[in-house]
Amino acid sequence: MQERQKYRMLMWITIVLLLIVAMISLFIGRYTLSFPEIMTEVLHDNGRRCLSAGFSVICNLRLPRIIAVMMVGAGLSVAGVTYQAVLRNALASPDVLGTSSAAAFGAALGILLGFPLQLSAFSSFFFGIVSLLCVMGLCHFKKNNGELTTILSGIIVASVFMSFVSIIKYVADPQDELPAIVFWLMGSFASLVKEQVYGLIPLYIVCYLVIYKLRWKINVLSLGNDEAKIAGMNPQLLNAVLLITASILVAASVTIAGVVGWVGLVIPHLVRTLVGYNHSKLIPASAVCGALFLLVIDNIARTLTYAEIPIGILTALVGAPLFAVLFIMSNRYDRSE
Amino acid sequence: MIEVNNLTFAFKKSKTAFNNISFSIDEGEVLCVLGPNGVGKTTLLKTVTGLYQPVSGSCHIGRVGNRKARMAYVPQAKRVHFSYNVLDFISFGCPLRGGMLASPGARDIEKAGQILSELGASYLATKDVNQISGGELQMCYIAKALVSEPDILVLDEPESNLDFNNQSLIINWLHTLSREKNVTIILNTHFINHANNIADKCLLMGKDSYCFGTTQSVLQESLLADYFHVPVKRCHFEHNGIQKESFIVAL
Repeated sequence: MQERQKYRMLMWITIVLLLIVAMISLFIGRYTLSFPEIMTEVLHDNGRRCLSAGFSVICNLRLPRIIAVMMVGAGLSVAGVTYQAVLRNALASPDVLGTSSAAAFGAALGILLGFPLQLSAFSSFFFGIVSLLCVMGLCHFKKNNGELTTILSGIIVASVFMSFVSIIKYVADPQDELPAIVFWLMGSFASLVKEQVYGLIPLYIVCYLVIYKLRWKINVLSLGNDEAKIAGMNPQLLNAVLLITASILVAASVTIAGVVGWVGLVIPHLVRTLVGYNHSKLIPASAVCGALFLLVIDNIARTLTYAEIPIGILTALVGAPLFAVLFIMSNRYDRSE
Repeated sequence: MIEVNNLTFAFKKSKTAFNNISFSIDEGEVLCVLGPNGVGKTTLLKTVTGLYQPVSGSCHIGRVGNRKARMAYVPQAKRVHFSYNVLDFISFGCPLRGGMLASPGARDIEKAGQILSELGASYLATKDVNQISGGELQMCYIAKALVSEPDILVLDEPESNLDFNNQSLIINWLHTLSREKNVTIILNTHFINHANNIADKCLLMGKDSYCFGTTQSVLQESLLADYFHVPVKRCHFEHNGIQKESFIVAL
């Protein structure tokens, strides 16, 4: 009972914090806005919609960006939790199955071929899904769906797509295309398309709900395929559904923001220290904490210096030391190893 | 309740785990599977539970009233990948009603705590499953199996990590389950005395042969000595005025 109260309190605190940070994020940035001014403007507009540039910055740039950051943060964290449970490996992260590398290749290809932004985004998402099919194909030929087979297949696919990215960088125009590709690979929310962000909201919600509704089965599945089978589940089908759903979340996140590392690895570990390992609590808490973490990092990325810092650099800078602290603090009396 | 006919299992064509085994047990009976290491006892249990598909033969599981019999399996205790809380871990055994997306209700989870306290291990409830001893972990696996209210309980060496006191607790608990709740039990064990105490039937497995029958007919000194290749002696003694029987194995 005490644990449930602790969990509820943590959820309330993080949700309130997330809302406060989101509100603050609307008003910070290079274009200075004041909250009372904007509120006065909205309240006295009487539906005439002839609002100022400041209001336009909020509606067309900052609000879509905040929504995108929260979606990506929550999506990568939930995908990380899912990969770790299904692959029964606490070191599994959203790029373990090569989805990130393949989506990065898709976007780099789009930039190289001069695709418009929407088409590059589609190419990124498409190759993210292709990588997953490659991993499943390898597992099928190996006739083994064990977690080690899946991880090794993911490493193979990720390496192939990373070498494709290197080829693209090698042949890209060093004046124009190469900087664009490199900047994109470091991750950034700077060049968002509002419609694309709003269009991906239902996809994120559906994927999150699928994973959340399967939370109890994820618990059983994390104990092993035999345990799941005895409990009346079909572990192969469940593994496939969960890996596909998590990979869609990763592909959609790479499509929006490029490669944003560490979130899917660090946040689940951090949240486990707060709410425990039960996925009924871990999945929602990771979603909220992931969104909060990336929102704070994104605010730092766009306000720390005059030019925006690629978010991938900051997530690695913050994520790696945080992971080291969690690693050192992890239970020394754990007998699982 | 369970009828096994000419069951054969092989990992590869050349590597047969066991060959042409037949046995049957009725509802509420206890079957103990005995034999040296590597003769396929665990594989047999996994084939009966449906985890492995047999090469040939059949395993028929009876019904309880109008429904399929519920089966629970307690594997040899192994460490868990994630450090779940013990109560959560036990509640993962709760039966799921209501399709693919169902989760157990609050009452199911409450029952997990109840089972743990019936096993005399409620002190474990809030501990991490990876911070408890091997024996305590074994108790958790058993509690997880019991929480699903099984009609058939299949256990793979459940007493192997337990001290004498806990061994006695588990064996008595299994006996009560079979006698009072009519649960059919298949128990893979290395302890001849446990089989002698609770089994109605025994299956003694060797490399190329097996022997199945009532406990009295299978647990013979000469037969056990043949299968285990060690001298076995049955002896009787009195404890607190009660006549006891025990097998002594000379190593």
